[in-house]
Amino acid sequence: MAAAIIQLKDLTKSYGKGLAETRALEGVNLTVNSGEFVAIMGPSGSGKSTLLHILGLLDKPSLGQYFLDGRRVDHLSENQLSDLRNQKMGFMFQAFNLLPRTSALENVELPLVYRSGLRGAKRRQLAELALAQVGLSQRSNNLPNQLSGGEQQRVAIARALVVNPQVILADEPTGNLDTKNSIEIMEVLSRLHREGRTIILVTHEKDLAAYAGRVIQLRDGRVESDIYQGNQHPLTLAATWAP
Amino acid sequence: MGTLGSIKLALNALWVNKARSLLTLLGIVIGISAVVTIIASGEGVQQFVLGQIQSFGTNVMAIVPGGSEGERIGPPAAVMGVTVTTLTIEDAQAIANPRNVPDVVEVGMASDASQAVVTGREGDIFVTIYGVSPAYFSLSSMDFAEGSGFSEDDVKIANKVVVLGSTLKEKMFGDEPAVGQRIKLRNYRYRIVGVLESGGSIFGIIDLGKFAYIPVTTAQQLILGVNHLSEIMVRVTSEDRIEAARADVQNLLRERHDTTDPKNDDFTIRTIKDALQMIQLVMGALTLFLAAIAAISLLVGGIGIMNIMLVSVTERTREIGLRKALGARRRDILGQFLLEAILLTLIGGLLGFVLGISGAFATAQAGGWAFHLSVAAIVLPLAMTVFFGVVFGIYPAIRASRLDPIVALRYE
Repeated sequence: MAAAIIQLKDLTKSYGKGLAETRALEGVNLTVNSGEFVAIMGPSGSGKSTLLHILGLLDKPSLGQYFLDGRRVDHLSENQLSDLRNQKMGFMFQAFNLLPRTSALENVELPLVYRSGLRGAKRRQLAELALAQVGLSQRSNNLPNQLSGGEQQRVAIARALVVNPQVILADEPTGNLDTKNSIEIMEVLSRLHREGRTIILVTHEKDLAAYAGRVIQLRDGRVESDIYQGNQHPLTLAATWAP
Repeated sequence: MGTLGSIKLALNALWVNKARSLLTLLGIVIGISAVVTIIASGEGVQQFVLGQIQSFGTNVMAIVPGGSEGERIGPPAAVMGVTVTTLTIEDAQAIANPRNVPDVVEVGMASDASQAVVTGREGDIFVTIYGVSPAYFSLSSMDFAEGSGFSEDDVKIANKVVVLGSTLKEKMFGDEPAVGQRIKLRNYRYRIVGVLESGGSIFGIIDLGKFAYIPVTTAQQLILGVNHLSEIMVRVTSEDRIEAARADVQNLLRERHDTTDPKNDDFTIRTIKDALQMIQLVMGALTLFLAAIAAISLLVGGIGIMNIMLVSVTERTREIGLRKALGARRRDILGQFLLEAILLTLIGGLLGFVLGISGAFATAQAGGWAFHLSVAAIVLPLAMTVFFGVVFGIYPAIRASRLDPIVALRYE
């Protein structure tokens, strides 16, 4: 039995006060084990972004408890959260969020810049390694605008990997990509999953969720369903997309 | 992040918007160059002026006609261009009497100046005619290149003799000796009895070499048609006796002019000390004025920096959000933007420094004083730029550091 890396207990997130109070999340209980590939789905307004922000330590819950790797983290200070994000989380965004006018290699190095005691040469070495994992060693000196959308998102994957994260959080990572590039990115993610990485993917596309071993449906801030899909091979899906 | 990396990052960010950065710097450049020029020139000018004044000797005082407001500092009427007729040759003779003023060594007199035109070898020369007594030359530290000037007897009989300034002599006689020759000033011919050493100017503007000095009585009778003086100069035995002598002269003149209330004094006594005080006052006011301009310029420049940094923070909201998501703490972001602001002002300060030094050097060349670069002229502007960078960079940097990463990441 794999260890629980994430545990949410009765998690609630509300905005506003009194009559104006709205609940984005209400009584969410969730356990994610190490090595799982989880897709979080739901219509817009279902609370999936809020959940991802709380999971990524970018936001704090209003009520309830969040255990990351066995340690309670919902009450930590801003600086402690910064450090935890830096050490344990790998982020991917819909808009890639690479720094413009900055080479692929330097973009991958960015999280390590905020890690004390890491020399420039060591940072570069780690970044090169991460770029190699996504097959972009040849493009390390290219600027983001010299790369295709798929390549840019692969740089972002390398940036997430470079910190050796316990969890990779991907927020609609293929939202800005065409079908071909989307498949390419999902292939990389499922390979990382097979290699033992824990991945949490937020998406509204059923096809992408199919890559995950587990799909959580959110509706109105509550977990509507939590289904283990078994080992459906993603390549069959790729075939249905192919022209 | 390492210091070097941070600086490289900040310079990169500034380099991306070269034109904008440069324009933003202008206020700082002008402000700092003004500060540097003020400091660097101010010292040179002060040394220069003090040197000029001290060449007259510290045991000398001057009496000019007309009272002055504000004790020893305000300008006397005569300096303001008003003709006052209260000072006479008899006053000067009374001061020269040791029974009245025991510390007196010598007394010089000067009349008002007037103009004349003489014919030189290469055309007309404008001459300033000045009536003086023999002691005036020694009191003004003027030496003779030729001849020896005129005597007290020449003054007594209002003789038609003249001492020429060096420029005047050269334009009229070239290298030939001038003493014994005659020149015509206004309607009379004067015998040349001396030529002064070259050099000497009033703050580099008025060439003393173009002066012609005649006995003060001659000037009064033949040229001016008056019997008053424009200045009496007094040398006393030593510098420490100057205040005692001043009191003696003051009492003597009040008695002679029937004045009892010091407010009604119709003369003003100036010592070198007064002059120094006045010069320092003027220099201080000038420095303050220039410093105010510099301060306004720096303030405007600083606000420009703050403005551009705020724009930069807004433009880079997503970058800030990303950095925070990836683990940057508040102080990392704060440091990044503060460093950028400081580097921006520092570059401005450096440009301003170079400009200011060049300006100070150029004015020193033009004004004829020594160019001198003090430690203050280097350290103060540097400290000021860093200070302004921090003051005007801190607010945008705080704004940046407080951005919510969730909001910032989604910012379009």
